[in-house]
Amino acid sequence: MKRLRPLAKLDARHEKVARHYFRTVEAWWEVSDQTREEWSSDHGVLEAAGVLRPGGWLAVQHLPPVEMALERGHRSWFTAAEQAFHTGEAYRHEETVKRFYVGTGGVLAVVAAPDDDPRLVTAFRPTPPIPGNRVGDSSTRAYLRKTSPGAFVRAAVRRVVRGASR
Amino acid sequence: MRTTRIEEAELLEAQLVEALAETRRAEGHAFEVVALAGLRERFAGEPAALAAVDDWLDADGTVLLAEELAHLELDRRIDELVGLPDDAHEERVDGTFTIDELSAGLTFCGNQARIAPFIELLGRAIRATPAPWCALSPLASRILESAPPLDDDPAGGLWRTIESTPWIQDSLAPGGKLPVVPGFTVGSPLSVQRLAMEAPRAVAQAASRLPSEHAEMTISLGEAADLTYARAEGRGELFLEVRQATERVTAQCDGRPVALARLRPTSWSCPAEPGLYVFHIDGHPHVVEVG
Repeated sequence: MKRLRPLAKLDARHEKVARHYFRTVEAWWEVSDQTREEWSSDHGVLEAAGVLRPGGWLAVQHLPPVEMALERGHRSWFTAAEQAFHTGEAYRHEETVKRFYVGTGGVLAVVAAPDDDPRLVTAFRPTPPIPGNRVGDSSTRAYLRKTSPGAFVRAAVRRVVRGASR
Repeated sequence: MRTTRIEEAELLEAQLVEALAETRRAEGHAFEVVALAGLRERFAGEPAALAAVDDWLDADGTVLLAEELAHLELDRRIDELVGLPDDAHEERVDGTFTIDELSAGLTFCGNQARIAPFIELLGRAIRATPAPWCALSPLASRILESAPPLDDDPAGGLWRTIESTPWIQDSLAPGGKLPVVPGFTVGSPLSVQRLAMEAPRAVAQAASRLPSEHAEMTISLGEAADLTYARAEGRGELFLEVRQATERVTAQCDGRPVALARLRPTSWSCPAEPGLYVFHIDGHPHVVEVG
């Protein structure tokens, strides 16, 4: 299988990472190579800098600690997306040439030109309809779930089949 | 490779069997089971999987479900969805599907009244700022055509509102015409990332409700401002007091611009009518419902 290319522009990478990898409800620490502590630490840096506010990532991303946190996040996010591309189940729609790969833990990678020059368009973890348990972690206001990875995978497959990612 | 022509009903049945087995092993969530059952119920037929869910509910499922219903965080999910920036298409789609699935599950177990007011609020927010939702209109049409929510499922109203957003937007645009967006055709499955017309973004964390029967009431719009509702001689008035002087203050009510009268460098007023107000202060939206 061909090698997956990341998003070409640095800004676009950072935007996706701020929007998805550091979106608490997507719980990427469950499926990436960062531990929850590492993820929380970087999330705290970005939150304090205002990067995670809607539209906030663009204004302050060039601060060195912010750039480093975004870069680490991108590396982990892309690695998980790459894994979904190589080992996940592939889906295609008739209406688009993009393909959808559902990987471990429900990582949904959307890939353009999958046969010639595969490029990552985006990757995210669709949210399953399950209760969230807010935990008193002031640095991240994270949510803990006693969730089977199956719930995330099923949610990702439903999003693809129900046409959410065209 | 699988195509997405997999029968959705078939997929839901398979997922339902899987989720029910996980829940019976105490590895899954009871609510996921009823959500899947609710989604499957939108299709014709009565598969064995649905009967199995009924049996499970009659046994220990209802108790497990009751424990989870209190933790669905419907307010937090709606807040996040309403507060998304205009171009957060993926998050908007994901959040809408989650609300749809929660509504299907709550309807299946007879608890749709829990989510109905949240969906009503979401619908009003969508009607107030339809532009970012227009891209979801074709998706809503497909869902309403292929597997519409049951009559008593509040998600039906949500999808119908989303489906109608291009026309709502049309009615809000100057001259009654949709802004020109390359590649956009109403009813086509194309995604529109952003319409040319700037629409306000709603931050539901700041969403509050001002009861119009109060003579005077003040609420805080986060760190940005205070908003006072005052009623005198049968007329209501809103007074906005910002904490830091700014020129960048605008307001809309149910999607229509509101003329703000500047009283002092840091305060403005406007007539208060029942509706969903969106105040933009230095580029940040604050939503207040007056009613």
